[in-house]
Amino acid sequence: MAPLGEFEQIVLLAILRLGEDAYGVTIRQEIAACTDREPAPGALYTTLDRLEEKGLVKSHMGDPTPQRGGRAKRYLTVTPSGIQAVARAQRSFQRLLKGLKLPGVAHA
Amino acid sequence: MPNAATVAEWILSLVTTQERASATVGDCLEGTRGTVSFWWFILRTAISTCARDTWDSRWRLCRLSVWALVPRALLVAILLHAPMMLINYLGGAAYFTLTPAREYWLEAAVITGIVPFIMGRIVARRSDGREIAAALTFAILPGTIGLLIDTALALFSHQTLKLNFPVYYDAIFILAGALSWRARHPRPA
Repeated sequence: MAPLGEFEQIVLLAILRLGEDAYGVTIRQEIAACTDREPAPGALYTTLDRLEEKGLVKSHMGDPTPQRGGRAKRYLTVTPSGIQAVARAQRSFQRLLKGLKLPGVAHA
Repeated sequence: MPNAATVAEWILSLVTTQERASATVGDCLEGTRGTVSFWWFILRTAISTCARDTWDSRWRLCRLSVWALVPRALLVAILLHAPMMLINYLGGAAYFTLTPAREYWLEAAVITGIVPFIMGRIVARRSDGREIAAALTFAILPGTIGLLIDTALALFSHQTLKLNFPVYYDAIFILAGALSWRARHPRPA
């Protein structure tokens, strides 16, 4: 399988952090809170579609709510292969960072 | 009259499944405030999704666009010449004179209207659920290839390049044809 892109890793980690409450709005909010940057909606939804096509996340529809004009939420969960993929990508980062002293940064 | 959310859902359903379009509009209603930010959200999502569709299937869509040039040329030939041949064959030429003005409007209607509309439907039908991406590729690619060939020929023959920019009137009809196909054949979930 092709390695995950940076944004794909961010989205997977955000879904894992949110647990059962991961859908479009909360994923955007979680990414914004953790990375200090607001993801473009188009980028987020196309990434979610791509991750689902790769089998790294799966989605199911919730119940319609009046707040959303009677529209259901599309909840997302990370599949076991998604967890493996993000763990593999993170291990690569950890190996690259190991023993590295970054000037002006307390902990690498 | 449909409200903004219904229109937005229809726009998104052109590039994704109905279920996902509905959920995305719901997210938009929940996560945005105001008309401008609502439509900005919807348009960015629709354009990104369409661009991803196009990029993910770029070679298939290019092959489809090049293939579609053959039936397009055949359709133009048939629709332009067949009626006149039939009229002449039946001896009706004495009653129906093809003046230059009539010829102009006949060609305009066939070449930039009827044939592109039919081709939009044909391309959409063969696009495997990526109707809008296929229609846009078919509308843009042949004109762009023609422009590149003109440029190359002018450079090769050391002549002054007279850029004859392609005019994409027919793109509207190609897109209309694809939309008419899509309206009856929604993308499966």
